[in-house]
Amino acid sequence: MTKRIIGCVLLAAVMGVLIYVCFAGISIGSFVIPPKLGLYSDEGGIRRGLDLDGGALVTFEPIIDGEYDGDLDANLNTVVEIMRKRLTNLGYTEGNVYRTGAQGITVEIPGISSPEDAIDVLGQTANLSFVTSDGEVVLTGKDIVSATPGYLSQTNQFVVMMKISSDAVSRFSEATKRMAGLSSDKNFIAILLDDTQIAKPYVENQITSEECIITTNTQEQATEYAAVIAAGALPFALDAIEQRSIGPTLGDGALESSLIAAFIGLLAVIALMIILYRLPGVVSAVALVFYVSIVCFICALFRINLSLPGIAGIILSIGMAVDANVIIFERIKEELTAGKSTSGAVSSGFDKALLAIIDSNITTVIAAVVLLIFGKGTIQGFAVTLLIGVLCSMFTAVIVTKYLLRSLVVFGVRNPVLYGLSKKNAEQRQLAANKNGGAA
Amino acid sequence: MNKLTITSKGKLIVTVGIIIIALGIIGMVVSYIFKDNPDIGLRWGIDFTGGTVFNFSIKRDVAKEDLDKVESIVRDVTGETPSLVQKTTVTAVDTAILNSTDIITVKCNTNKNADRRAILSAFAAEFSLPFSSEGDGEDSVDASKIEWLLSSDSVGPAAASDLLKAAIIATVTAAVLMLVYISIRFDLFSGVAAVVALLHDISMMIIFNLIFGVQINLPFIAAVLTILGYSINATIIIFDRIRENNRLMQGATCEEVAEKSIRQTMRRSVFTSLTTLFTIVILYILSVPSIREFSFPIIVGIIAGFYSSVFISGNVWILLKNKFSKKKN
Repeated sequence: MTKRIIGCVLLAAVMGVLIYVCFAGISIGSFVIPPKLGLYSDEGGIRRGLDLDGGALVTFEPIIDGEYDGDLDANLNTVVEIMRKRLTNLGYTEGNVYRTGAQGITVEIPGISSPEDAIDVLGQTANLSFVTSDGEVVLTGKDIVSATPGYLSQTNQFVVMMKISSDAVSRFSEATKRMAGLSSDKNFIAILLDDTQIAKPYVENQITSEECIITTNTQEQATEYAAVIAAGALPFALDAIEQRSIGPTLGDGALESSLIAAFIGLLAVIALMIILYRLPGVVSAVALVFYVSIVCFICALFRINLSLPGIAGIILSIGMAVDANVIIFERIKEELTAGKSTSGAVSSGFDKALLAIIDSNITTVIAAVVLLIFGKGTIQGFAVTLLIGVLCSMFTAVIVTKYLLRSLVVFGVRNPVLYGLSKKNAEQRQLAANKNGGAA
Repeated sequence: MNKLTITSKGKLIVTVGIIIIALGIIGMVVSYIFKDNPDIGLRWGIDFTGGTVFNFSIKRDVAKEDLDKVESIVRDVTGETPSLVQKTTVTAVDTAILNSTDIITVKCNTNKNADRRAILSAFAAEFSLPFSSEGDGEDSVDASKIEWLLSSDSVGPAAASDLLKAAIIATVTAAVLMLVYISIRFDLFSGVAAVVALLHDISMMIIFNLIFGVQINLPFIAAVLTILGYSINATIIIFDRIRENNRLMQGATCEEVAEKSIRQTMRRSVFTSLTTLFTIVILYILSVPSIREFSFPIIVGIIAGFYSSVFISGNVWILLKNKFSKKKN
């Protein structure tokens, strides 16, 4: 009994703290969750997806005819670097560039609704240039005649054999003479794509002919550099295959109305449960509030990227979370009708319902995991919150509800009518009990 | 014993169910064949066809003539008639800025950056909305923040066919996994019955999307998979009861066992569908177009799922059991 009281107080305390943290935020050392889960802050907590914040998301893919013979992976990483620089140059310092799928590159630009101009700039082919350590542009893509990978057997090195046009020879000769004379950390000519450095060969001697050799560390590197230098640019062009943008007016409104929808949904489900199940309904309402605060807390803790479909997943899971309770309460009611004591009915109601609850939740988990694997972008966001929702609801709807209901029974709340037994059945039961009592 | 009201009509219920599944499949196949014709079959969205969709406000209420103007602007730029031009009302917008809850949705086949810019700039000129695409890189930052453009989505044809492939694989994978899971936990008859119920639900979602002209994009696939997981819950609860009652009711027929199990779980089936329906309807009312593409089929799926779990799955199980099971009572 004392243990039960302590348990219930602890449970209430945990719930109170969770709810408090969700509204007021928390800050312990470097761990920070801002007020309102960080929904309105960038300091921590939940990250707002682009569809809530407003902004554009553009995915580029390389245009490749047939088999690509260079190192696609390395080149794509170079493009990511180039795009980051371009994004900053455009003034979008909050932007984000990352690789998606096998060969996609996704650029996120917060706050803009019409990314057409940005796409033009971002999608340009990057240009090659050879720049000396003192900043002079010696060669550009059009000065290159050819570049092929090779191998020097006498020094056992992989190299790029490069040929430049005759007009560029005097410029290159002058620059290599100047560089070769510099101290050992300044004697280089950097090879750049846009502003991104892809190699930094050191100049050993002045180069006076049209042909020269750049040594590299590996065969792959030699092939790679040769391909880029020969193309005078990245050896593929980029195509914007997907573009999605949400204007700031829709973003704000969407977040507000989704939160309102979630709140009304929660109240509606609580009201329905209390009307349908009386005392257990109240218990399930407590478990449901607990459930919502756990889900919110987890989203803030792991800094989940919350998109509109993600919120839809949470709202949907509020309706689904009480399913386990409905199954349990119906069972308890049946056990009571069958004549069991309140305590016995609560126990066997949970036992008999458990298997069915686990079975039915596993199918939702299967669906969510399939979506997580095959889905894209915001759909994955939906799968994540649905998955979090199902797993958390198993905990609150089974374990928390069971603990609270058992505690109520232990505390002496045992009138079967409160647990859903109909008045008629209760009267019959009372009559039978009196009769038995009289007979004995 | 109660009268067998659900199971006595078994053959009729199953026949109607199979007709609905057939309609759904026909609807899907026809829509797929005529994927490029917007007038036949489902309204495929750009996720699966490629193209561009703009949702924008003209900062006042939308009249019929406005839609005609939009249509002719798009035709002038792309050379093709847009496959969709319609007025939608959304609650989730800031009317202080946009003056109206009316928005225009237009779908066209181009996904070229230059076309998009040309279309937007023509809209701006036609409806006297602020837009500036000229100027150098620095100006373009501000020009891109157009508040009357609520959303713009564009997908290339290759990306669209990849998305469609992934969607089909995901749906089939999920359905097969459910069949395997139920066949292991219960028996093959239950597994088949559950899948028949699922096919019914998906068919209903397709049929209703067809009737109401709701766009089919990635959110629809998310809705289908959610219903796959959700609707099967109710079926499992019923089969779980059937399994239990099979032990308790020695000597009873399949019909009697199924009828009793369905009745015992009926309140649960109704209430769970109700709570979920409550939340999703509220989401539908208070939301933006992209979420409606998701919440509408879910609403249909939950209602269809309730019907199929209660009326179809048990009856299919009985038919299979009586036909193929040697151990008849």
